[in-house]
Amino acid sequence: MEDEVLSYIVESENRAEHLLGNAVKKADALKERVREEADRKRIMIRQRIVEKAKMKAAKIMRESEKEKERIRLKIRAETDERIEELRKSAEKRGEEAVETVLRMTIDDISEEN
Amino acid sequence: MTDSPIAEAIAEEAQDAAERIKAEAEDDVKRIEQEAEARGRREGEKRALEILSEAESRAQRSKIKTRSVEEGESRELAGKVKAEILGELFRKLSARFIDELDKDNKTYRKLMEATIVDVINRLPSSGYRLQVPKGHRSLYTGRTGILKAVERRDDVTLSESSRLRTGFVLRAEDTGATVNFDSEGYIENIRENVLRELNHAIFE
Repeated sequence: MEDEVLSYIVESENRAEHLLGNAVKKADALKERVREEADRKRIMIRQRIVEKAKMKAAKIMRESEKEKERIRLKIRAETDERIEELRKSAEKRGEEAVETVLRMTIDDISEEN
Repeated sequence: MTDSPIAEAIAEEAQDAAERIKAEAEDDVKRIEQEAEARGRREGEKRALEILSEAESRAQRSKIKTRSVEEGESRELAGKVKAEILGELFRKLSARFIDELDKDNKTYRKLMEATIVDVINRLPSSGYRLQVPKGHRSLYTGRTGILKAVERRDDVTLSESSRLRTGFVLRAEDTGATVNFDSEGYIENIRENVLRELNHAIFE
């Protein structure tokens, strides 16, 4: 009778060990699966944020191109204006300036002697 | 026999342990998922910041470069137009200057006198040969002629040349150094000064 009980207890312990072993294996397998899945998710989240940033960066560059075009147009308009002013000044004061400088040059020759 | 309390206790304890393992595994799963998500966000945000910062810098550099190039081209263009205007006015002034000297012997004599004195001072020699255009001798030797005013006039031998239209050619006999002078060359020599004066009178 005692032997039988002992044998039954041993058997119960074996079953318990088996049960625990299975539980540990299942838990490890689950964690491994989850780790792989979590890593894929990590990459996906990272990628999603990076893609958004790339879109923002592209927008910044597009805005920059527009700004550059505005700068070009503004400077070109200012240049045209400046050139127009130069021509107007020359038209208005050119003849008079030629006479004045000519007189100065001739006067300098006279004064040097 | 199967109702042995010890065996039951073992089975119960094993079941509890298995439940604990399962529960711990579930906790671990949650933690792994949360950590992976947080890490993904951190990595993504870090890279996003780098990308945006790089884009901002590139955009800024590009704008600065555009402005600088455009301003340079603008200055160059305005300078070119200004130089063209001044060049055109200089041509007018040069023509007027030559005209004036042709008409005004007094000024012409003064210019020639000053120039000859200057040349003689720069080219020391025991004697000089001066060639002037045909028909211009009197300008140089007349009562108020140039040579009268030149200190070392005795050293100067004067001759007329049909090859010369205006000005003179002065040759130092010792060294053979020769100076060709005409009013066109004179005004050309003072071009920079004249342009500066014209620029001042028109644009400043």
